[in-house]
Amino acid sequence: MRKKIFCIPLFFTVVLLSLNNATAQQAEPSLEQAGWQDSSFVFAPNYYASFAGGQYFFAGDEAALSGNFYAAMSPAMKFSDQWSLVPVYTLNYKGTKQVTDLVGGGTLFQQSQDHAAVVKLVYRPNNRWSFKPSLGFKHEFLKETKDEKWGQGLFDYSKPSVGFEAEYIYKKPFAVRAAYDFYALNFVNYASLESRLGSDLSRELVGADVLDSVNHALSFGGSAGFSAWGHPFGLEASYGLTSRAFPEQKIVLNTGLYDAQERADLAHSASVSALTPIAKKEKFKLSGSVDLGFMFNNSNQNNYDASRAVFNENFYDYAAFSLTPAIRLLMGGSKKETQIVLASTLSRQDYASRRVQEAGGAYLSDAINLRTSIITFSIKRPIEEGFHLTMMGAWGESRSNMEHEKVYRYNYKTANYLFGFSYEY
Amino acid sequence: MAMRGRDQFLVCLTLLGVAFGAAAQSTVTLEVIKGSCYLQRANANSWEQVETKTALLHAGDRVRTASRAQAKLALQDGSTIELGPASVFLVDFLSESRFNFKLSFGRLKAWVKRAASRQLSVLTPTAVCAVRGTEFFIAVDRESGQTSAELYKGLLAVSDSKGNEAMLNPNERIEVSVEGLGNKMTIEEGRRQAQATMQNQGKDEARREVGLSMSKEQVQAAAAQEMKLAEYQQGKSLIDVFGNRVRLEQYIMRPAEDKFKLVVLNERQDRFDYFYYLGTFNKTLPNDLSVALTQMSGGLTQPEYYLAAYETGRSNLTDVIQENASGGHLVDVNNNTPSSDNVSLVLDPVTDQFRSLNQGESYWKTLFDNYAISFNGRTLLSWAPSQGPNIQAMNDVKYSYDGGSYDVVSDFPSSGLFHNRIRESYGSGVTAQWDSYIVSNEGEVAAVSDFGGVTTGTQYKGILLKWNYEQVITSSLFEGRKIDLVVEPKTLIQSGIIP
Repeated sequence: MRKKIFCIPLFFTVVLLSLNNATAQQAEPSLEQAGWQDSSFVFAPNYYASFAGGQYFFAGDEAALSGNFYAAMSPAMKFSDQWSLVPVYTLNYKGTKQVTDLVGGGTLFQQSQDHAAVVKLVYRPNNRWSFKPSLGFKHEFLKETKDEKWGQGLFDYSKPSVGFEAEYIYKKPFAVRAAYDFYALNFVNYASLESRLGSDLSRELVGADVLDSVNHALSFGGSAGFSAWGHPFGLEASYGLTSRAFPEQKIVLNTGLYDAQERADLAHSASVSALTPIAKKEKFKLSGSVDLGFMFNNSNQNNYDASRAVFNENFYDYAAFSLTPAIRLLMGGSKKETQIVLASTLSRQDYASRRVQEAGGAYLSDAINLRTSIITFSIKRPIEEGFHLTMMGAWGESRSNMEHEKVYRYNYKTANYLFGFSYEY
Repeated sequence: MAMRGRDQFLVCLTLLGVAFGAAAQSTVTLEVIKGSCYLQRANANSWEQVETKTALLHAGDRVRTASRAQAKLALQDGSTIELGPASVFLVDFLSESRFNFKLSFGRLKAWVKRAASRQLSVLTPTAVCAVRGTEFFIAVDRESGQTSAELYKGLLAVSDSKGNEAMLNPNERIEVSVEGLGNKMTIEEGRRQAQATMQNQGKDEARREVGLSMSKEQVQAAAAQEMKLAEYQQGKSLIDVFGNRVRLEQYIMRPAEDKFKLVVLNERQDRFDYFYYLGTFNKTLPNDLSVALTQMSGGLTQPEYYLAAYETGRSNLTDVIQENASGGHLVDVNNNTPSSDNVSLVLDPVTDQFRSLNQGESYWKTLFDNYAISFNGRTLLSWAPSQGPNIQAMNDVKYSYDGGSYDVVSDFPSSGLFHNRIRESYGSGVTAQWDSYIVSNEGEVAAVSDFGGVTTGTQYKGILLKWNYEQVITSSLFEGRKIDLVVEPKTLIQSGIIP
């Protein structure tokens, strides 16, 4: 009897140990079952959203309080070491103009929203090269007057695009890339008024969709890092060349009539950016950057001022330069950094042949130049993981030797501020 | 006869020699499981694809698998190594007691037979894994050399370049980077962390691609902004007194050698209006029209170019107001009779400013023998010479009105603002009303104070050039419709519509 009593707990102990062992054995991974990669598929989404409210001021007048909203979603997927897919969708709504929206200069009221989607396939045959074909589409809606409804904006446009980029990364941060993009700009609601009339009231060869263009763009870029004067520098440079054709915009002759030749522009753009840390302590980091930009447009289009019977040759040719120094301060630890940025942009645009006009409209011999200066200040403070409070203020001034401002303001001051928050994942 | 002792010793030595010789010639058998594998023999410079299913590897030989390939390496002691896709593997050293391999990058799985007398180690760019009879997995990142080692059975000693060593037990994983050994963790936890790291790397890469896409998008969007900017700069978009957008286009046509036609088009959300001025000159016009147009309203001397006839049209695409004038000829209005038609202010086309004329100073203007204005084809007012062509003053014409009579009242209904109203009544009962405004581009009606209180004269016309002229015309013949036009005043001053 004693033996039986002793054997029963022993039996259960053996059983339990066996079960435990079996369970442990089942829980332990097997080399045979182990995959070749930690995972053959990686889902790497990025999400960003920001909302801000504020006001815009122009030449002493103020617009009503309104808001801006921006969201970007990129559910990027990595299928293997070689293949990735990066789709991006962005929504950008602006109820408040910003100082950088200098177009037109004179309207306080403007709402815009644009929706853009790009799908980029990334193929990396090795750890140096990558090839990226992409497809994109964007539509921008504008409400510039109170009577315009969404979808009826005069300057609403759509932009389908297709592109291909090749990049060679020698060793981070040294990389070079080259890309070709084709895109069309279609102003869906715009047609010239003249094209709606019969031959009695319109010129021969008049076009309807005169703002629409087809664009072939080549771009080259590169990044590098180096040290100088005891400081590390990050450097980025790019150059772009765009050939732009306007299938329905004919060349204006000195008689005011049209030629059969179509307008064609060639635009060059170049930029260089340098970034360097200035000071670094335990709780703060200070860095500085300088961006230099250059644009040059060459067009075969002219202009005829019918009210004064004046012919303006090479009306759209110009050269523009910009310089943007900035400093950035990061305060706090790496998990909760407050970012403060102060930047200034100085730019100048010189038209090659577009002549200055007096206040009354009489033409002078000088060519028009535009000088703008913008100062921006922004603060981004973390609240929780991914959430930030944001504040931004900007002041801008535009000056020109153009005195005729009846239809467009060239000389003015403008400012705007925005308060809001952002979320990033 | 049995072998003698000495002969047996020699055979043993030979056999031992053969055995040792065989051991010194240790090999690894490579078997291609799938895909393409390449082999670079010791002292060779090039890679050759393994065409046969198996190949023998010796010390110094290198194996490379393609992106979807797998290979198996069988060691003489029965151990097996499986080589994963996109991997480069070197048979570094082979002997009976020691196997050294190098994994430059990629992945391998190994089933190593336990043998006390034999050492097997796998070197990576950042780690040395000394095997103690075991089943393990090693992965090496191609770019960073970061090594991940997972142990399934047995023991595995992993050391870094600084001499630190960790002993892995079954179900343990460790990462080794250039900084050194990481912490040990379970295989599952390690793979989870690796997955999270890969996801973060993926996010960083995606963020970079998004940034590149957005930069390109900004450049492309700037082109659209530029098109819009040009439209505004050329005054093709304004806002009228009612806060609606007005699109404005003005251009010149050349219907004949001696004719020009200025066309002004207005479009709003729900209406389209146009104005044209067709001028017939006394001679062929030059290419540069400004030469002729600056003389159109007259001059201090007899202009070379003057209008022989003109026609204007105003329409909302349904209703039409038309003016026709003919028999144009030059008259010195400051030296004819009467003096009521004298001109005291002139627009200097060179300076684009107005100036006053002296008493008796000549001013040549075009007078037209015949004139008629009609609304929807019905002539409401006309004149013709009372005593023959070539009139010298407007006193020399005879007027005709629709219904025989004509009455006009002019006032400024909006106090302090530049809003002029002219009401016409004809004997037939037809009425017409002309509301003229001076407006800014934003649609605000100009105040008298905007002109410094000046309402006539040189200064007035000079300031007027900086504004827009809007004319709204209604009539009993329009059945409730109106013609609404915004025009640059320069156009109207030059054509004489604004005297």
